[in-house]
Amino acid sequence: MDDETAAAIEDAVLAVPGVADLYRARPTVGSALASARNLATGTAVSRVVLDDDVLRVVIGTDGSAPAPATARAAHRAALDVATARGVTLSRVDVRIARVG
Amino acid sequence: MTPHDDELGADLRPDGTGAADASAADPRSGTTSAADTHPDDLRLDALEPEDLDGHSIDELADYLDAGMQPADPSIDDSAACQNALAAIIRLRQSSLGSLEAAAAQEPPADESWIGGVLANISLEARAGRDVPLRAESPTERPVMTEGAIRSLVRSAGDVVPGVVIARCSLDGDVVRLGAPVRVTVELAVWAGSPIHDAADRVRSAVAAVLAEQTDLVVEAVDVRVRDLLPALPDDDHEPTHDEDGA
Repeated sequence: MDDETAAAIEDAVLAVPGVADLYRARPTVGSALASARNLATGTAVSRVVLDDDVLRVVIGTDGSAPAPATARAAHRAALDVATARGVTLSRVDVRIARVG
Repeated sequence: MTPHDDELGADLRPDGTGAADASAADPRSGTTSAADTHPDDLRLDALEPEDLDGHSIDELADYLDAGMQPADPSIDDSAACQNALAAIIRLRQSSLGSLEAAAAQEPPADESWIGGVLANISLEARAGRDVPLRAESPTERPVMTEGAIRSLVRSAGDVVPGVVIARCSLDGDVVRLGAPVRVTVELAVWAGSPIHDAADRVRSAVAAVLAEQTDLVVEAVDVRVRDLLPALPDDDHEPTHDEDGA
């Protein structure tokens, strides 16, 4: 997944009503290496992490809508952007780390 | 009553069993330290650095005192730190001034009461286990962290007038969708606030927010009144329904 796609996914998730924050997903070894490369080149480190074909997203919600519905909408938004950019995902893991 | 319950402690369950006798509570003895009654689960030094993404509760309090400047991304971008900061802010806004005033008039144990609440905030804010939410498609795997849920519980209780939430916990197989979960909320009530009314309000608020924001199957919300705090100064005391009607 290229940086532009990651940034587009981040924007789409943050645009979902009820999503207040996007936190950095805990990196796996592979994504940590990619992050290290980005740091070395001065590129912004993505907050979403792709493990094989599973995208991991960690969000905070503002509490205005039920969190399960917000998670579902964030999953849909991420999946749509990834698909539109040619990235095939088998799953989007949305983790809600904060509400309100 | 559990072995941990002190003379003020009582399980206030929805069915009324084990209900506290508010009239029997003596406000003068209401400053019993929660830290004294739970010496094993209120130790700040037992916290691991990763509990709050490398920060201590003291660091977060200092950060708040400094107006959150200069900005520290390791705090600002940490959900666990944000959960803890929100709880500290609510504690300060709702009661800390009065608690400090009470502590000044009482033996040093009261300072550890505040420390105990802060320690619990720190413990509760850590992410903990991933609690599943109901998925509606094969491409979806939604979860909510245990820390987010505990923060939800605490924030729901914090808005109830006349109480200070001391501790909250989830008991049950929370990582299994549909498993029954029991929620325990321990709190202190300001003298002058009807205990049953306060407990009922906390129970209702917690049950409502969990029903709206999670897919937990809540078997029960147990409310334990562990402490009675000295009466609030008039300016700080928001009357409850019971007092309005008295």
